Amino acid sequence: MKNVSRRRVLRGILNGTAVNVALPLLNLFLNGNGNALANGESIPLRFGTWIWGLGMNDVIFTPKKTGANFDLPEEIASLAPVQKHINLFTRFNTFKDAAPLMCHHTGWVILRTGMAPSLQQVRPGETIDVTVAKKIGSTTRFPIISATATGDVRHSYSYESENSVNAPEFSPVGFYRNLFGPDYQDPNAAEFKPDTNVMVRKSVLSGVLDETKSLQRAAGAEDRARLDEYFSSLRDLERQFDLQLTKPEPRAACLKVAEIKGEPSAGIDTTQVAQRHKVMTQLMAMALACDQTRVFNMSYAGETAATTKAGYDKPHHTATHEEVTDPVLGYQPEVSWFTRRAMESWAEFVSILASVKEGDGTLLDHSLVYAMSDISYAKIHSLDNIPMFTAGRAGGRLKTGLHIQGNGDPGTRLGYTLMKVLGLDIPSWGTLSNTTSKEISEILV
Amino acid sequence: MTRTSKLVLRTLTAGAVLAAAATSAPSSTRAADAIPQLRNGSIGYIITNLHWAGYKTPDAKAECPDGKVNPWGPREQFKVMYPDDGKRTVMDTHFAFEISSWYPDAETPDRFPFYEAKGKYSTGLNLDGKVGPNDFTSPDGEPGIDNQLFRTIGCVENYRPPEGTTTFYADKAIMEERYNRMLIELTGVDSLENDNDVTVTMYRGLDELVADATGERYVSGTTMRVDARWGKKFVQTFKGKIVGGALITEPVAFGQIPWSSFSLPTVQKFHDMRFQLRLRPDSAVGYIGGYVDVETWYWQTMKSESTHHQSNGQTTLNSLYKVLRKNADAYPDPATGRNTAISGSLEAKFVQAFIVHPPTDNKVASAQVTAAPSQERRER
Repeated sequence: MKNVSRRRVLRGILNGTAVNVALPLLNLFLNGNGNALANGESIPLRFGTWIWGLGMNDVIFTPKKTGANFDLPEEIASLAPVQKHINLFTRFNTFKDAAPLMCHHTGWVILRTGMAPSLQQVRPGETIDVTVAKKIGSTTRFPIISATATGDVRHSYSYESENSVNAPEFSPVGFYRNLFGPDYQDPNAAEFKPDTNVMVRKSVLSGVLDETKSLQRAAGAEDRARLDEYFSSLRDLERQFDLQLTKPEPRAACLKVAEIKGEPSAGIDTTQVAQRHKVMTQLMAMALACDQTRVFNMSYAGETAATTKAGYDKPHHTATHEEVTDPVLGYQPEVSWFTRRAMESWAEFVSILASVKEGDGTLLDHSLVYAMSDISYAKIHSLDNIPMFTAGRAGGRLKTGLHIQGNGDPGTRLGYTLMKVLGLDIPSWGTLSNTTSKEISEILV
Repeated sequence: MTRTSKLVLRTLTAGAVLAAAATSAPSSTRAADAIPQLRNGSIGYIITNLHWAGYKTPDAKAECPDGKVNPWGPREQFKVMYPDDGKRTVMDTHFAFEISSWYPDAETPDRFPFYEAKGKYSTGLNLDGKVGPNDFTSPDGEPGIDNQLFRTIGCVENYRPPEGTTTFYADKAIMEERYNRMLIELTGVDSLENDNDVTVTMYRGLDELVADATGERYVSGTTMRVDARWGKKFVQTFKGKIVGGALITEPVAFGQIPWSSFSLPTVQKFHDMRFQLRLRPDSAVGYIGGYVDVETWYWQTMKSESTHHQSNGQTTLNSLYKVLRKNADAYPDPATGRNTAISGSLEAKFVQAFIVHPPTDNKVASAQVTAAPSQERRER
């Protein structure tokens, strides 16, 4: 029995409300290879970002060998278990051009928007996750989900525009409730019952939209522009309601998520940040597996990370500027301690995505994660050689396990490459010296 | 050419000036009528970089004792001074330490060692025209360089780029902030190569610097407006001459330049302030030197830089103050006899700019030129 749509449901009426009863996910929904649904639709591609603050110590971070089987210097030794899943990019630069160097701000803004900010107060424009979400994130409940392990809502690296920041979830309990709370529709549930609360909300929204449209006819040009922006947000909301009133597709990889009841202890000690990061990554992975979203952002630590180490008096950012470089080691040992903890969490992030079985591979195989720091050598706010990673094979479109050196090329080449891999039709990305139309071909399949 | 002029020219070939000099336009192109930036005998420049002068090698061996820089920053001193005994309060420890910086004590010996620059070399200027036992020699062999400020801060990590961040923040402040926009305008100029009588007037500017596409260099030829209202106190004039492409001004008794660090507007004050710059049509590079007022220098640092920023390069101001006062070499206080100023120079880079005066400004109307004090007064 071929070509059975995964949308096949049993339909009926209950108490005057339309009810669709889903079939369980059957093998016949999948094709013979297990990498696509039987109707030919591929297992969806996901795109995510991961960021850690305050860069690295080049002498113990950058591998000497490029290409496959690159060496793992001590600062990234913890990546050994996930080396086959990642690519490391070094010796790429970011260019502020005529703008001043905005410490800890310029670097990540360039790598996520392609543009150098002109002032510290100037927020980024549209970030790469938002651009990608417009392409692949419109059919899920959440176009984008963002989380920060620091517990600080200000640590967001996702912007719709200069005036619109996507606030990250900073509480594991809150993250659970948003993703898997009362509004969650389990795609594998035997029965689907539209949420009456959502129906009421949609009804109210429809009225608001009608009213707003009539208002727009009477508005001047400037007000119409404002109303257009307002409309966009309402339409997003409407789309979300529609999705919640539609039987979701069954997802084999989607498992029941245990409720997060207790908040991890508050604080920014690295052990607390790591714990929060792990819990939120697990929730994020299952949200992807359950197709609640296809675009995700995780912040391990902010660009001026204040994470602390028990028994050491300086937070991470303070240490980068104050700790004396050890003349024998050639780097700042305490700063490196913080960087090593970040790399451990990065390895854990990749491992969690790789642990979710999906089709003939894993969730990570069908994902593409773009990771970067805000700076290279934090003590002097260096914009040259900001380290970047990717993880995942993007459904087989990307090679992994490689160390690529950029020889001073714009770091925006990586973001551009990833957007092309994800099917965005863009001739170039970035502005001024950060403009690029050159993909990093070494990682393309 | 006088002996002083020769000395100046040799000094001006050192360090940063060397690069500018090496690329200077040939003399034949220096005639006023061949230089479009020189209009009606006038040419202006705007400051782009300003750092305390000194001679620094990567391993510090040539200038610091055994190549050692000061390890006793605020954090390091605090740990020793206030070991955690579980009994003392924040008031007894952190506050006490911070407050002590606001009441510095030059008399009590420091319990922590402080490494001063001990080497032979320093950049800067020969301020008194003499060669004394404490003077340095410029890297190209010019003796008599008066730079006791370098002796004081030369082995403090903060003042040692690239790791020391003072240089980075100083450049950043000049690019991003406005209060410190220093302009100089040369008038009565017949030639940028040789002219026995020119006038240099300093102003505070109103407009932003314009960087080139790299963001690392600045564009010459921009228009810069004079701040004739709030910048009046910075209008100062200097008489000088141009010898072999080098501007050499006479010192004025007292001068001040607008300064800004971490968005805190302040000033740096000099006794016997003077300029010595290698001139080009599109830039000027050299020194602004004199005897730096110790209290102003200290309080500018104290107020601008948090303990964190001081700790970026192990600058403990309590310790630094004692050495500043010890090394101060001019202008004794009439009451105590202790010197109040310390010899030092700023390495300065300018690019050419067209300076625009407001209609009511008669350029130097508010300037007060003061003759240099006697040699006897300067020294002690």
